[in-house]
Amino acid sequence: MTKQTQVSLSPALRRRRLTETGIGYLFIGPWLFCFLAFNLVPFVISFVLSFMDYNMLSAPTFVGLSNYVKLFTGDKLFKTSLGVTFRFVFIAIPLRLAFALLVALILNRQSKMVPLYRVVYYLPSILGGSVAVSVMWRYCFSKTGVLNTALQAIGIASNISWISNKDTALWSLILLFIWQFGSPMLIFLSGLKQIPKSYYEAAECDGAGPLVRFFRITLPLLTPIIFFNLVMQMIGGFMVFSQAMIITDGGPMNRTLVYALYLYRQSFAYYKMGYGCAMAWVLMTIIGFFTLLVFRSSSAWVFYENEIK
Amino acid sequence: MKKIISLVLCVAMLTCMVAVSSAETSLRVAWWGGQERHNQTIEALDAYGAANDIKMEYEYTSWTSYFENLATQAVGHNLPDMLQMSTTDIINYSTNGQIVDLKPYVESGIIDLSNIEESSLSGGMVNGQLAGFTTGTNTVTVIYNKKIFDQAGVAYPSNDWTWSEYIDTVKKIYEATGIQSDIPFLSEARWVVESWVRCYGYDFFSEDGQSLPWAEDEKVLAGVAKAIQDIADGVKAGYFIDPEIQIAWSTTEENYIVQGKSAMAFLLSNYYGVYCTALGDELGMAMLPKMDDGEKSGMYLNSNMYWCISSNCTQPEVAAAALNYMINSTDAAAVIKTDRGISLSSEVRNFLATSKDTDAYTANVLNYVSDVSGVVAAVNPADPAHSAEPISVLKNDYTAVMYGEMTAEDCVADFVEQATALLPN
Repeated sequence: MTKQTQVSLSPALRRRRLTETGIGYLFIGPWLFCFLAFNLVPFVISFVLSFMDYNMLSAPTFVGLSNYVKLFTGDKLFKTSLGVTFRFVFIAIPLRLAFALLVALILNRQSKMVPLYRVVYYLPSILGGSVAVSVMWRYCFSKTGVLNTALQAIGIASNISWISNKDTALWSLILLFIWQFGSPMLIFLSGLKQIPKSYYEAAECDGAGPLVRFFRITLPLLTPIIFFNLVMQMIGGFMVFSQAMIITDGGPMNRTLVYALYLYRQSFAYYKMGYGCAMAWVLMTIIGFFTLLVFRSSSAWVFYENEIK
Repeated sequence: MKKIISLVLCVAMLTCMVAVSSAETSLRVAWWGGQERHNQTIEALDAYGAANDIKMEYEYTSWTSYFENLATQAVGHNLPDMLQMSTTDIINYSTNGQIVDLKPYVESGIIDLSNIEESSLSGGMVNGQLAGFTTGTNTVTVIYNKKIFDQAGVAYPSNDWTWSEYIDTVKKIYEATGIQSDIPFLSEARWVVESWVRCYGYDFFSEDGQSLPWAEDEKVLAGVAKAIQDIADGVKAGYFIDPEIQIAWSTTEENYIVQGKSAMAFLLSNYYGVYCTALGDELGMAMLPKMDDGEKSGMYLNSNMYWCISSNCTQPEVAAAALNYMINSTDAAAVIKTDRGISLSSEVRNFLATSKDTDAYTANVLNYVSDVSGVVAAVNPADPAHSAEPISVLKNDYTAVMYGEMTAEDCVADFVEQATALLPN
């Protein structure tokens, strides 16, 4: 009782607080509504559906764990698609981050042209995983495409159809993914701006060259940003879909059948939505596992300035 | 606040009233296709709607997003009244009660069969129901570039040529001119494999949709494997086009046959006109070659696609009448021509064959399909449930053989094994 009297407010003040909270909810309302309707609800439903046999056209029936059992014991393409996705993630993500960092370093100089370059380098990311870009990619990497023409111009006779060669098809998708390095680059750039100039000046006075400055000052102070980018990009990488769907459609011979594309086929082409949902939850677990791994390892390599004692 | 709420409610009410008052006779029609088909279909249906005082609403998309949309609408019990359906998907919509049996409307005469042979409806039959009305039939063909044949001094193929003659022709043309031929149906192996098994008198899928009726017959398995091997040998020797190149074609213009760089290609007959237009010259058409040790022609007729009426259509008679217009009306045919296949209606076929607007290419297809109809009895039924996955396995394995990653025997064995596992039993 005493506690309540302690925190009790005058009715007028309480009303004001209430209105303030109300206005607060009003402002986040649109987002909250969309989150509940288009994220949380489907999230829960897909979990429930993963234990069901559901073809979308008639009512689902409960089948227990059989979707998961089939996935792990009787589906060759499940393993194939996982393998393709892992290859994609473990090659494309480090390369994309390295490339983004490199460009960010170049753009982090004082020059009047820098704002223009920033826009130019961000453009591919705005175009994103759009259909138009994917179609353009097809033309660049086909046998008579831009790449082969360019190679021929510099005297290398290339006769490979990059997107349909069994060894290079995945690489053409990886290259597209790296090409869209804009958003991690911008984040790197803002991170670089945070590093106090005085550190570099002091280091220069002590005779440190550019390489030493990069590895001793820039990289350690950038690790929180690298960490953030790594987590975000990895999650996005595991869910790569549209490029594989439009450029190669999983081919040739399932060499580019990424997990999300196989999930989509099972759900929409083969009318096995329950099975697709189970696949989605397996992917969710995998992403969760790797995110956790990165988080756990962060204490060993991520350096926060404010933690210095 | 109250004012705002009441205002919002007023607006909402008004919108509802407007929606209700305009909903007297309206018809929602959905189809997939390219811009050309959208324009033609809208033109034909607009004319029908205006004549019959029906408000037509159209939902048209590309092929890639069509069935996603449809499935979502099915979940929300919001399917369009009349919808275009594919041979691979109709089974799912029919067995799950999303589309209605059209027989009652045929019996009541709303759908007129006076110019249509009843046997040709077999393509739209699912479990004894007329689930979809075939928009037109379509078949497979070998198209060939006559100029290249002349240049090589090789005789044009006849409709009763054999598989070994076909392989020889490919080889001879390559040796004489250096021009290759397309790998048969690299984009969908099932279309050529089906013609092989039909040569031995089998259907591709059993009638109950639970098995491959030819999978136990050693002669067929060996014949199919040998035919695949023949192609793979030709790829290696260079007289077929490199699969890496062929698999990357996505538009008509990329195909070597329309660039005059390929002597022969296997094709679905409804694409013939488009290919001739792209080449700018008339291509020859021949039936698919017969297997050397087979007894029959491997040719078959398919429904190109169907018109269906969804089960949540409130005025199915109106939809059935519109469907009848699309099937039987020469007015509709004058606009749409053979875009959805060769019409089942003899009247429409005659109209198109004799119309002065009909170009030579369309006339060729009409003649070809009527020739094939003379060899083949009925239109193939729709594909059974769960057949999409084994068909994609076959496509993948066939491609692997062409890439030299798999042997022809393994390709056949793997397909049979996986199809047996994936088809319901």
